[in-house]
Amino acid sequence: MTEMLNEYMGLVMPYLEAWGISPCQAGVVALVVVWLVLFMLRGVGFFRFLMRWYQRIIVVCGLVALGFWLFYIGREHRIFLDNKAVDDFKPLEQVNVSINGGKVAELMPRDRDMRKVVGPEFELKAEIFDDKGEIVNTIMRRVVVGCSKDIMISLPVLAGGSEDFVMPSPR
Amino acid sequence: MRKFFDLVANNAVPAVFIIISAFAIPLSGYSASYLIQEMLTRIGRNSFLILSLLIPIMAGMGLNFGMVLGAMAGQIGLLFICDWGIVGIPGMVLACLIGTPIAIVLGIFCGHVLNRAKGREMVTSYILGFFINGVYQMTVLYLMGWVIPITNPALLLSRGYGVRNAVSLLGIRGVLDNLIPTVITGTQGAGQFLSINGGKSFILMQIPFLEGAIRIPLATLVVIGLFCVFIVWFRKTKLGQDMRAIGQSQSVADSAGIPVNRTRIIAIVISTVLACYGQIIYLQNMGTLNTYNSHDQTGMFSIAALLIGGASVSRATIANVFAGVILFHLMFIVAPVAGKNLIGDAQIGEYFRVFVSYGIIAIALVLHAWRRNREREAARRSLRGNKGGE
Repeated sequence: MTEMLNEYMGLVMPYLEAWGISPCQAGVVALVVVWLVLFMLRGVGFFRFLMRWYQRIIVVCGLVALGFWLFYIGREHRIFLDNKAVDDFKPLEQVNVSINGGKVAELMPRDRDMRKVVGPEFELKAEIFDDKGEIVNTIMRRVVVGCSKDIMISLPVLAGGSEDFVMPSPR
Repeated sequence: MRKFFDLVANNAVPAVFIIISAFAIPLSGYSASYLIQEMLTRIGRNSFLILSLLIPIMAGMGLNFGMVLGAMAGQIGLLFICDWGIVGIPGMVLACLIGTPIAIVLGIFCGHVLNRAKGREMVTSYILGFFINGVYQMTVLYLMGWVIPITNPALLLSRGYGVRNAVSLLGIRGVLDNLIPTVITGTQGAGQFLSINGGKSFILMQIPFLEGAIRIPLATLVVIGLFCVFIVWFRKTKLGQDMRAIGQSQSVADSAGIPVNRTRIIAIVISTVLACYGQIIYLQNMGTLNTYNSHDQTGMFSIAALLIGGASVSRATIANVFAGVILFHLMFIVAPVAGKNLIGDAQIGEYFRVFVSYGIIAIALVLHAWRRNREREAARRSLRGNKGGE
C-alpha cells in the first residue's frame, strides 16, 4: 500500500512542484472538484446517494483531523533538563535554562530539573557560566517535541555543539 | 378569580422559592458581591446542562433523566484527555470530540428504548440511566487500563487497571471561564485592567456598592448565549416545528406525515450530546472529576433547577432555565448559613434546603399531573357541549 502511494506521489509530485502547489492544497482542490462533479450530477439518484455519503465521510474525516490537530497542539510535555556527564561531555559548572521565557532553572553539576510545556515545540535559552560565575556562552534553540510525551535535554551535549542533545525521558 | 388561580398555580414553585430566598438572604448575612459572584459562577457551571433538557420537552418526551448518559460520555472524553496530557482549550474541545460519538450512540439507544415506552419516558429514562451507569462503571473500573489503553499511572488504581475515584482536571480547570478574564469592581473605573492572581483582568464596569472584584466567566456565558440562540433558531426549523407538533399530539403529527419515532430519537440524541458538552463545561469549572459519582446527580439537579424555574413536564423556556439556576443555587448558598444563624446549626439549614427543594419538585410534578387531568376533563366537557345544550 505504502509502495503504491509512494509510486503515485512520485508521479504526481513533479507536476505539483511545476505548478507551485503543495500536496495539501492539491488535496483540498481534489475534494472540491469531486464535490462539484457530484453536485452537478445530483439529478441522478445514484450520484445523490454518493454525494450524501461523500459529504458525511468528509465531515467525519475533518473531525478526526481536527482531533489529531488538537492532540498535537494541546499536549503537555515534561522537559527534563539534565546536567550530568554523557559519554565525553562533562557536566557544566553552572547553567541557567529558561523555556519559552519562563522561570529560570539553575543547574549545577549532576543536577536535573523538570519543566512543563504545552505544544509541539518550544524555545530554549541556556546561559552557561564558568567557574568564576561569568556567562561564557548563551545558546538559543527551538526544540521540536512533536507527539512524544516527555523528553530529556542533555545540557552538556547541547553546550558541546552536538545535535543529539534530545534524549528519551528518564522515566 | 379563575385567571388569578391559574396564575398562582402556574408560578407557585418560583414564587415559593422567591419568598424563602427573601427571608434566607438577610439571615445568611452574605454580602451582595459574594452572592453575585457565586451566582455568576453557578450560572456558568450549570446552565448548559439545564438547557440540554429543553429539546426533549419540546418533543413531548418530558424531562430527560437520560441526560446522565451524555454526562458519562463527556467524562470518558475527559478521562482520555487526562491520560494523553492534553490541556487548555484544545483539551476541552478534544474531550467534546471524543464524547460526541459516544453520546450519539447512547442517545440513539435511549431514543429507541423510549419509543417503546411512550407515555412513560421519564421513569424509563431514569432507570436507563442506572443501567448505563452499570456499563460505564464496568468500562471505567475494569476495562480501562486492561482492554482500553491508559498509560498515565496517576489515573490508574494501584492494581494496574481501573481508574481512580478522583481525577484531577488541573490541565483544563477554568480554561473556558478564564478565557476572557473580566471583572466587575466597585473600587476602580471601568475600562481599566486589574491584576488578579498574577493575571490581568479587564474591568467591564464599576458598581459603587460592590466590595472587591467580581470575576465574570465571560467566555462560558458567551457559549451559553450561543446555545440559547441555537435553541431559538432550532424551534423555527422544520425539525423544530416537527418536534413541537409531536409534543402537541403524536397521533396528529403522525397523520400529518411527520416521522414521529425518528424525530423523537433525534430529540434525545441532541439532548444527550448537549448534556455531554454541559458536563465537560461543568467539570472544567469544578476542576476535579469524581469518576464514579460526578454524573449521578447531574440529571436530578438539572431537572430540579428547571422545575424550580417555573417549567413543567410539557413546557419549558430559556427564561425558566436561568430563573431555575438562580433560585435553586441561591438556596444552596444561603440555606446552610441562614439555618446556622437562625438555629445555631448549619446542618438544619441544609436539611431544610433539601426538604424544601425536593418537596417543591414533587409539588411541581403533582401540580402538572393535576393540571393535565383538569385540562383533559375540560376538553371532554367541551366535546359534550355546555349544560344548557344537554
